[in-house]
Amino acid sequence: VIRPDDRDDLMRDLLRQPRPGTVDAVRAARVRRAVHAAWRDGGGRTAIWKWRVAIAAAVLLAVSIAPMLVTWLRERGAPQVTAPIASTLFATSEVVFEGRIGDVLMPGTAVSTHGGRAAIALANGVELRLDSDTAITVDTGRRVSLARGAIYLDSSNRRGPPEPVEIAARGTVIRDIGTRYEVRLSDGELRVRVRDGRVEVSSAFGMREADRGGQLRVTSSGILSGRASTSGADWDWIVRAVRPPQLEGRPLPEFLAWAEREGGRTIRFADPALERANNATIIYGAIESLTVEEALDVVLPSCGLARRTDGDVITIVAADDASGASKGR
Amino acid sequence: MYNGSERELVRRMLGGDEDAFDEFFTDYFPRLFRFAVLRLRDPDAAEDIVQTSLIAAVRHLGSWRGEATLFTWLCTICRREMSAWEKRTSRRVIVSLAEDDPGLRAALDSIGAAAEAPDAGLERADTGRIVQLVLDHLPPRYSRALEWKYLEDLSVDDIAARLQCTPKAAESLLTRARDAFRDAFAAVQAAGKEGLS
Repeated sequence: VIRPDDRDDLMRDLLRQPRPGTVDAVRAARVRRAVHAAWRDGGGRTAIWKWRVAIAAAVLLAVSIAPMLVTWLRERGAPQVTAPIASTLFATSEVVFEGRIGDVLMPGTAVSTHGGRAAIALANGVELRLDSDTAITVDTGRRVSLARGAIYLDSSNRRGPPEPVEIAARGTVIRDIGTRYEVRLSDGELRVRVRDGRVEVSSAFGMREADRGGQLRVTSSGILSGRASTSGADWDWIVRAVRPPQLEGRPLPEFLAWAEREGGRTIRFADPALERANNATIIYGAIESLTVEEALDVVLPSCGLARRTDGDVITIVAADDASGASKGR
Repeated sequence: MYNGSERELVRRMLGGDEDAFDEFFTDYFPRLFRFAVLRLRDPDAAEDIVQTSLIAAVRHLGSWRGEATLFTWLCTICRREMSAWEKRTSRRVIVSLAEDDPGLRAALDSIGAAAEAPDAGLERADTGRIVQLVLDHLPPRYSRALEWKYLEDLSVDDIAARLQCTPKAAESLLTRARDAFRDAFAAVQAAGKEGLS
């Protein structure tokens, strides 16, 4: 039995015994990020804040009640000035919010869809699309609370500092790290499907990240990770939540860029010569109410082209060469 | 006593001090992770549980009264999370704890650092593991000071500089740290022997 005493050599021998391994830095950093976020969100600071706020409020009241009263009396009836944090882009029928399409939204504005769908743009350019039967509150310019339904977030047009937008739902917070993803609430779970980029999900069960093609489900028993398709029919609603693109007289590459972004599949030409030959092609007509797949099937044949779908990749071929091409769906 | 600096740390965290958070995480995450992984033998599960435990802890920091050491309090939360994990996953925590022994508990509490009762795995453990266990249960300033002195061979003056105190205070702290280490080490060894008998 080793019995350490105050002699330095024995203490040194003991402390230099091989010990269990250290915690790896990547793991520590991962946990630190989640714990730090929870700490910054408030939590334990609530108690101290309570009395600080109470004291501050009492002091403020004592010092400023008279001038405030005068100011209030002077400005009685004057509208409050609050910076807008978002604006509405689009809404089909049966969308409820305080305002009209194109209006700016103030902090705390509630938007709900019933049969319809809607899209709003936050002040930093991040776009949110609301599926039918969805209810949200735009808390701030970087935070939205989801009460029911589904949201699709597209941050590809974000302006300014790359600060994440948070979607809060049932005690879970979803943060984007430059991405496009869907959050859907149902009775039993909250599901996050990532189409592009990366997403961080923090809940009472911990923090998880998912990247393109990843899916996280927050259930009563924990966060379950898995894979999900980035394209297909159950993504079609996001196209119907925004105004359809105006393609009349626009070049084909612009349409293809839209189809790639909204459809979730990479689009490429079978060969560079075919791509060069079609760079200047101008398209005509409208694709209103069509899904991405349907739009491709309308537009491409009008340009003498066809498509071949293989998983998450669509290859464009000349219609003449498409005898063996399958539409894939 | 020991809890003075921990109270101060918690007070600073409650005030939103980022340095205090760094200190808290650096001191307690590795210890709590070792605490969990020792019992679960599954680093990924341990990570989840420790993360959940620390999130719960920082959200309820105001409820820590300082009656037990901060690490003891964190271990209590961690045990609760391990129980919940067992229920959720139908998996078992591999190492059971003999922590209901009131005599051992009182003895360990009396030295100011609530140590874990040795478990079946510990009976076969090497000295290094016992040393780590004891260090994990000492106040962080004590553990750091001992490691600086005996692993890094720092002088008392250097330790004082790191602790931002006088050399005399550092020497005093080292003495207390050695005493605490000795008492805790002896308590764990004695309990281990009883377990074997």
